[in-house]
Amino acid sequence: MDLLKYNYQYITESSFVPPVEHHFFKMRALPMENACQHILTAEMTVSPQCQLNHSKDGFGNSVQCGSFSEPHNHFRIESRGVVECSAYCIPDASPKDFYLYPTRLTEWNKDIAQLASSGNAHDIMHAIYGLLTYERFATDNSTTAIDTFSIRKGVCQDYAHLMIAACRSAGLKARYVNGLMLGEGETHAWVEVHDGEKWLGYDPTHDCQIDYGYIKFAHGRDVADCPSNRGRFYGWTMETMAVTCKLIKQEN
Amino acid sequence: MDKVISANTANQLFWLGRYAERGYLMLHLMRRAYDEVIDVPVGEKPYSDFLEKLGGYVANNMTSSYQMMAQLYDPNTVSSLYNIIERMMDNAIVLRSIICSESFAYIELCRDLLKQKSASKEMNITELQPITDWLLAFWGSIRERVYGQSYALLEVGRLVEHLDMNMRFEYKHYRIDEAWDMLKRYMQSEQDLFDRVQAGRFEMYAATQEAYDENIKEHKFEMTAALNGLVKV
Amino acid sequence: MIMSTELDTNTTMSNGAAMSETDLVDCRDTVNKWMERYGVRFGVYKNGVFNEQLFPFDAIPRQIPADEWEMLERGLVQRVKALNMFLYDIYHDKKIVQDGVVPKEFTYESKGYMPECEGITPSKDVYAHIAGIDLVQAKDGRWLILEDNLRIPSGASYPMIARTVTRKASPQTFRDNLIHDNRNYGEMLREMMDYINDGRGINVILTPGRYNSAFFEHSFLAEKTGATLAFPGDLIVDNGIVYYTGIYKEKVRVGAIYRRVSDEYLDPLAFEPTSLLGVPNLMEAYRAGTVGVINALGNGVADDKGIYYFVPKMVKYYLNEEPILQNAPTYLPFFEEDFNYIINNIDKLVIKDVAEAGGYGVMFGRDMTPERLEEVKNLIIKDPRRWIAQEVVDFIDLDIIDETGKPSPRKCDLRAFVITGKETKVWRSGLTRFSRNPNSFVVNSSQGGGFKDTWVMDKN
Repeated sequence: MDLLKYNYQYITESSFVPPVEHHFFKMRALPMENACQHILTAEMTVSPQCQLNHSKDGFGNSVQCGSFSEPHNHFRIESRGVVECSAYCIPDASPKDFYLYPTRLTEWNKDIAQLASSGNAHDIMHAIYGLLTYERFATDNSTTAIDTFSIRKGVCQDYAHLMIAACRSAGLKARYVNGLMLGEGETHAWVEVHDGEKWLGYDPTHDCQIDYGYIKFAHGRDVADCPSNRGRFYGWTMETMAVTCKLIKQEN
Repeated sequence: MDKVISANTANQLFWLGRYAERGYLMLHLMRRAYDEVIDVPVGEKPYSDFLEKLGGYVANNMTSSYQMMAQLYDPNTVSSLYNIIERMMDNAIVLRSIICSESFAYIELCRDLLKQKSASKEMNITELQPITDWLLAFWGSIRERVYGQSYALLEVGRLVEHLDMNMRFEYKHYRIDEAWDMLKRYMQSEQDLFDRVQAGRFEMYAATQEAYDENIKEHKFEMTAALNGLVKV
Repeated sequence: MIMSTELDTNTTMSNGAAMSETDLVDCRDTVNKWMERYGVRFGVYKNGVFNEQLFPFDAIPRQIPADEWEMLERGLVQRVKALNMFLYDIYHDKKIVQDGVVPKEFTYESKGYMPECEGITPSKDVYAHIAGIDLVQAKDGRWLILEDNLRIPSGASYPMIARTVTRKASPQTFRDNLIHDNRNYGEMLREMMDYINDGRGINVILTPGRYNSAFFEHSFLAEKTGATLAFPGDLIVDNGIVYYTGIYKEKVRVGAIYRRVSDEYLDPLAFEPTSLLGVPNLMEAYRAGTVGVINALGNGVADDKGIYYFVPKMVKYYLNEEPILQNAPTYLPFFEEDFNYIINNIDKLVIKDVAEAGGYGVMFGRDMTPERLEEVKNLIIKDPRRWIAQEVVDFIDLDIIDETGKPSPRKCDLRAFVITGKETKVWRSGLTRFSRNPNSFVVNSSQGGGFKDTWVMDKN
C-alpha cells in the first residue's frame, strides 16, 4: 500500500478593536493518529504565547485548550506539521452505538430516508451530490439536514449532515469529520460510514469515496460535537477573524 | 482564613454600605427638615433647599407636601427613599450568603414598610421611624456576623457616604475629620482598595480646619470628586 | 428531669397531631410574616417580565409516621444507588444496554445523554449527588414514584425555612410532637461537598444569577453550607484547574462546584456557544478530574421520563434486589404489548411527553374530546419513543387552609431529597407541594401551587 506524506498548516487569526481580555479557546486542529494517518511532526503555536493543554474529548478527539487573560488586540493560533497516510480506512470492531441515532442537526424525515433506500453508502452519497447545489451563505451553523433537503443548497457541512441523516435512517453508523483537504484553503467536512468492520470515508461534496488527500482532525455525531476552533472572550469589541489552511503533498 | 470575594461582590458590598448609610441619613435629615417646616408660613417652600442639596431637580411650583411625598415614595425621583431602598435591596439580595439572612431581613422589613406607607400616602415622617430603627439594627447585625474584607467594604461604603452627605449638608470640619480618620484606618489595612492620588486630594482639604470651609462650593466639589474616585471597586 | 420530659411527650403523642395542626393554623399569620421577612420567594417570568412571588405556604404539615418513613428511606436509597450505577455504566461499559435490559434507543436518543461525558469518571464515582425523587401516596397507602430528578432538583430550602419559622411561631407543637429536625440539610450538603472536594480547594455554589427563578435557594444554601456563591464570570479555568477570582485578581482554587446552571449552559466552549452563564473550558477541568461538579454532567439520561420505566429493572440488574418502591403503572408505546394497551385504553390513561418537564406536556385521556384522542393516538403512532402512558393514580388528598380560612382538600406530592457523598442518605423531610385548584393534579410551583412542611416522625 502506498504511503504518502503531506505538509499541513492551519492558521486562525483574530484582531480586536478595542482589545479584549480573558480569552479562552478550545481547538481540535491537530491531525488524528489512526490506522491510516500517522503524525511525523506536529507543532502548535499560540501568540500571544500561552500554555496549551492537551486532552481528549468524549469522542476520542485530541483537544487543545488554553486561555490568555491580559488585554490583547491580536490572537493567532498556528498548527503545522507532516503527516504520513495510507489509503483512507479505519478498522473499528466496536463502533459506538450513538452514531446510529439522530441529533438535532441530523434528524431525518421520510424524504431523506428515501435517499437511502438502497442502504448503500456509496449510492446515498451519489444521490445527495445530485440533489444539492454547492452554494455559500445559503445556510449557516444551525442548518439541519431537513432544512438542507428542502432548500437543496449548502456547503460541505450541509452535504455531510444530510448524508449522515440518510445513512442513519438506513441503519448505517455514520459520523461527521472535520479536517483538511488537498487544494482547499479552508477546513473541510466529510463523512465516515461504518461497514461492519471499519470506517470508510465519503466526501458527498465531491461525490467521491476517499482514499488519499484528506487529513482528519476530529469526528463526532455532527459538527457541534467537533468544531475545529471555538473561543470566548470578554469585552465589547469588533472581531475580524480569518482561517487559512494548506495541505500539500510532498513529492518524493 | 479570610474568604476571598470577587470584584463584583466587593462592588456590591461597597454600594450596600453606601445606600444603607444614605437611607439612614436621609431620614434623619428629613425629620429635621420636617421639624423646621412647622415654623414656616404656609406657601413657602422650605424643602427646596434640602432637595437641592441632594442634587435633585426641584420644580418651583411644587407644594412642600408634594415635595415630601416625591422624596419619600416616587420611583421617578432618583434620590427618593424608595430608590435608595430598592438599590439597597438589589445589592443585599445577591449578598445574602455573606451578610446572612438575619441582616438581609432588616432591609426586607424596610422595603415592606415603605411600600405600605407609600400605598396609604403617609405624610407624617415619624411613621417611618421603624426604617431608621431597622437600618441601625442592620448595622448591628453586620457587626455581629460579617468579618474581614467583606466587613471592611461595607464599612468603607458607609464612611464614604457619610462624608458625602456631611459635605452636602454643610457639616462642620470636625465631623468630616472624624469620618475621614476612620476611613484612613481602612486605607492602612486594605491598601489596594484605595486610590492614593484621590486620597491625597481629599486630605488637602480635610487636613485642617483652615483648609476646609463647609460653605465654599469649590472645596466641596473637589472633595466630592476625590471621594468618588477614592475606592477602586 | 429528662425522664419526666419524655413522659410528658409520650402522653401527649396520642392526640398531639390534631392539636398541633390547630395551633399551627392559628398562628399562620405569624408564620407568613416571618417568611416574608426572610424573603422566601421564587421568580416567575410572565410575558417576559421578571417577578418575584412568595411561595404560598400552608401551615398544616404532611406527617409521615416513623415506620412508613423507614420503608421510604430504604426504597429511596436503593433507587438512587441503582441510578448512580446506571449513570456510571452508561458513560463507561454500557453493560445494561448490551445485556438488553435498557434498549439502545432509550439511551442514545435521550436528550439528556451526553456523549461528551463518555469515559469521564467524576470525583468519587458519584453522579447524582443530590437526587430529588417525586412520590405520591395512593389512597390505599402505597407510595409510588412519579419522577426522578437527577439534574438540578430544587426546593429543599422552603421546608428548611418553614421549619425555622413554624418552630418560632408554635414552640409547643414541636415540644409535643417528636419530629426529625430538617434544618440539617445545609450540613448534609456541606458534608457531601467536602467529601467530593477532597481538600482540593473551596466549595462554591454556581448560580446563573439574580434573575433565576430559584435564586433565593441558591443564596440561602450558600449561606447554610458556607460555600461561596459564585456568579457567571467569577470562575475561570486556567491550565486545567478551576479558580474563583478575587477582587485583586487573586486566584483561589475551587475543589467542588455545586452548580445550579444546567448542562447545556455550563461550558460555552463545549456546549451552547452563546451561553453567558457558563465557565469556558470547565469541561476540560472536569474531565481531567481536578474539580468535582455537583450534580455530574449528563445525568439527564437517567431521569428522562422514558428511562423511568426501566428504573425498577435497574435495581434488580445492579443490586440484585427487589425494588422496595414501585413506579406508578407505566406503559411504553415502544413495546408492542404496551402500545396495544395504550391505544385501546387511552381514555383512561395519562399521556406524557418524555421531553417536557415542570408539568408541561401532560394530557389526561378522560379530559380529551374524541377528536383530540384520535390526534394523540396518531402522535403516539408516529413517534412511539416520545411518549409514555400511565394509569391515573388516585392519590390521597391533604387538607390545606384555603383563602376563606377553611380546610379544603388538594392533591399533593412529595419531593424527597437523597444526598450521595460517602454514603447515600435521605433528608428526613421533603418538599410537599399541592395544586392550586381543588381538582388539579398538577403540583408544580411554576403552575401556581404552594407547599407544606413535611414532618418525618421520630420513633422514640
